[in-house]
Amino acid sequence: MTGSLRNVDQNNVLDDVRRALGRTATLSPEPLEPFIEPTVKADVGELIARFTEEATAVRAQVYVMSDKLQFVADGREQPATQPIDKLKFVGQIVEQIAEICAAYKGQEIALSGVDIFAEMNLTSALAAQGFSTFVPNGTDHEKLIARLANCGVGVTAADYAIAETGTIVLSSDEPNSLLVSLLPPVHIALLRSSQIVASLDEVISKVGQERIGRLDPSRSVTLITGPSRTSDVELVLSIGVHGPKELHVIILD
Amino acid sequence: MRLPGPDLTQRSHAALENDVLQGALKAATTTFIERRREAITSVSDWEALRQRARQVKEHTINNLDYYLQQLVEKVQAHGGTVHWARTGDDVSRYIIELARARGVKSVVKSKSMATEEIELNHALEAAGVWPIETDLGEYIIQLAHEKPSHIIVPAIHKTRSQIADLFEKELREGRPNEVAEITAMARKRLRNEFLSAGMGITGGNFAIAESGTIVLVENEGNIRLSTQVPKIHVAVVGIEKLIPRFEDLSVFLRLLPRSGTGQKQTAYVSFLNGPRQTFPESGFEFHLVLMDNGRTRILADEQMRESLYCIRCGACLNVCPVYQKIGGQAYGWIYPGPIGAVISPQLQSLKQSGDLPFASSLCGACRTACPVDINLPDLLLALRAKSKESGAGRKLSESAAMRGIAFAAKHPKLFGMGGRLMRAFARLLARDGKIKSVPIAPLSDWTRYRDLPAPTGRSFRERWKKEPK
Amino acid sequence: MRVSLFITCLVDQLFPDVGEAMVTTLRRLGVEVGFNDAQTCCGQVAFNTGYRPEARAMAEHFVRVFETDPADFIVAPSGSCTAMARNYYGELFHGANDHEWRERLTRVRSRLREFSEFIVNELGVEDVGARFPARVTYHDACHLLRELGISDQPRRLIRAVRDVDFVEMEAPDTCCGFGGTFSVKYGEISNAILQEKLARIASSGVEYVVANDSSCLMQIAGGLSRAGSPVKTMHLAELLAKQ
Repeated sequence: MTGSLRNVDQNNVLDDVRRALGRTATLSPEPLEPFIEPTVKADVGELIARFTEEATAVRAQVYVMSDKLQFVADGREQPATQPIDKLKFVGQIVEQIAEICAAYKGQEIALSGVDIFAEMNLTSALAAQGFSTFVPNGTDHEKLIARLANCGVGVTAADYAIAETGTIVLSSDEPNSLLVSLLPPVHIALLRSSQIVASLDEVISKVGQERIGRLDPSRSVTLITGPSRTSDVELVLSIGVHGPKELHVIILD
Repeated sequence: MRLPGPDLTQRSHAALENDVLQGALKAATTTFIERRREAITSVSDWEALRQRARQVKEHTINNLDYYLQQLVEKVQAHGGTVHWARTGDDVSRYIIELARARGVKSVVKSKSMATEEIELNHALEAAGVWPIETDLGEYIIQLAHEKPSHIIVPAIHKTRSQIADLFEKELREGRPNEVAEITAMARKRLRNEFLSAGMGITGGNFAIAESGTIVLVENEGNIRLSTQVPKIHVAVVGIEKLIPRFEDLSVFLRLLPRSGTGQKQTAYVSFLNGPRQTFPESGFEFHLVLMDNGRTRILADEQMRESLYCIRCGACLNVCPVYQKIGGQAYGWIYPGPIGAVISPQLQSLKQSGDLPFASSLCGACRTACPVDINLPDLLLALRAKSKESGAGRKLSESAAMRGIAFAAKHPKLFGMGGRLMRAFARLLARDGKIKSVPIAPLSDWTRYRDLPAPTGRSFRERWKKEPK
Repeated sequence: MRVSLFITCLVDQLFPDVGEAMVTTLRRLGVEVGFNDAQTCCGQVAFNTGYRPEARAMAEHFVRVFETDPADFIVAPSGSCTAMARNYYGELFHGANDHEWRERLTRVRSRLREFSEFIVNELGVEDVGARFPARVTYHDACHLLRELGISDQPRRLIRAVRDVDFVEMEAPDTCCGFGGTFSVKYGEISNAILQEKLARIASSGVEYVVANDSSCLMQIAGGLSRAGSPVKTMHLAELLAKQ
């Protein structure tokens, strides 16, 4: 911060706090005992089913793509007659993304989560279907914001998901994923089924371990549960007030 | 709508006379109570969570100096700037100077009780910096030049058609008839504001000391936009908002949405760690303003200290029979309901809002609903005592009466005699077994709305004496 | 079993029938009943209005009267006054030199019971041998419910009354709006809260509203009477005394 800004004596408030607590020097407190909540043990299938149920309840759309199963949507399973190959699997995912994006063909699709998308050749696959994609980079924030605001769809790769609330977890470790998931009216999040955990506590402890004590902790994390919503007018639910109006979660099993 | 009147009696009268408000309050409070009841069943042991949250808050508040220091070090290590503010004016001055230094013309704001408390918008406007409230409810309130009436749903007192009129008049883009149209109109208008604002100002639901993380909980996405789109983010956070560790957060993230809106989780929860990019040329800045503004005064009073545990969920408002009837604006300041009646007189003064703690039936529903088990009735009682001790709320006739009762209570014969006299007087006013009007205050305030029973001939003690059973 | 009655001011002065009904019911259950006429007021009205020194004087008197009383239990027809002595007297004797008072208080407090709590928890009785052919509902008095945690005992006692038709009203646990001096300081708000309660009572279709606190009953009865409603109020003790 520049020196030109006026600064109230830094220690004034702290001194007031100490005085209010009746001490002159700060004491180092014994940390509280950990609070252990009962852990939920669940296999991947149960986690997918719970996540789907909860996310759907808050109006997200969930698609489960499996290389072991045919196409599975909204928790309804259809066992495959035989395993399908990788290429066909990726083809299905691209197909699903293209279907969601169809309404926004005139606009760009922003992609964040380069590794997984490169693996899937997503850019060229979408280009083949007539979509123009855009991977945000560069340092000009204003330009980036303006371009993202005109995108029709943002596609991101989630870090985790929480089954008990149907929540996906994004971090700024993926460049600009927080903006890609925010500015366009539609957000598609890709998620590997192995990234789904049962409860909020597990994510909090994972995120906490990642944040604390790392060299560059200056990264943000956002928990996303359904599309943007408000009930500010007569308590009537209205979807898509400031953030995305649609949230699609594609689970890769 | 504005509630006129210098005191609570007049403002609540206006609220009770307002049928639109009465309908809105009933709908809102019943809905929230129902949603909360439903939401807490999805937690296996709600009471254990509450007690843990209380324990964490108690521990943090009792060691607030330690955790504040820790927080400040971490935020600075992330490349953020910390500013301590003793008063609301300190906060406003800092933000105005920052805005001027960076050439900021407009700021996008997301709902924050802390900035409401210090009337930051007034200060910004006076300094030529244009503040835009971006939470839909707050935006409506700002357009209407009103005060919020609920912590969670600020414009709950306004109907859809009143809001449609307001938008038509203020935004000049036609009349939005459906709620979805109102939302769409606000989205379009505010999206432009986000893209052109030089600064975003938010509050903070929690500040994690060990990691320097500011946690923000919301549904609309306006907080995400305020913190991610403008290059400068200022978070104004009361010093009581700290929690020690990341792991302590999950208890609060379970309690807050369920208590506030009855959601299992809000649409968005953001954990922010300093500026988006830390190298100075990037132009990204993060400023944390740690605000006292009367909080250390509350901290200094051991009995009142637990007022600082509040996580601003609004659950105590919804269940409060008084709030249900008079709404938020009648409380006269930005903090309504039981928690408002507890913190307003402490943050302001007993002289200014010392009448609030008396406007409660002490039913205790607030404490039962509080996710951190703040003993609100006890705090209200303590404030009533402080009000009488300090003389701020003392009335001659009342204190004389109380002294009289206390004296008589030590002298059973006198006590019995006093009772006899009062009953004799009351019988003079009785017709057909009831009293419809007493000419003397305070009982005249009873009979204005209700009948009194005509006393029977003898008191219990007289009957017992006459024929010991 | 010996019981000493703690008759609250309202019952003493305005509703002595409630006290007599307690005596009738308790005697029917074989309890020896006494009344110490040195007792006066528990001090709640002063305490709740912010007059703590005055409340303290009344609390001291209360403790003095009952500490020497040899009864096994001290029983009161009010959750509110019971809660005052049990939960709040401690705040009046919190001073550094109040050690002795705190001990004396403990001896009184440990024997203090609210009427329905005493019958169900201490006597282990639910059917007190009462009979009352009417349709009744029960209002949870706030302090009884939230300060003392009593909601089940009164309902069990009412259900066991012969010929009674017990119905729950909607939200029986919401406040009636009384609140002591609140009812006159903010009479208009108090009445607005009361009207909500009265509407719920009306839609329950009962003939009687039963509660364990004469203060709530005075508020509810005052509203019913003003509205010209045929519904009547009744203290639980009065219901249990009926035969």
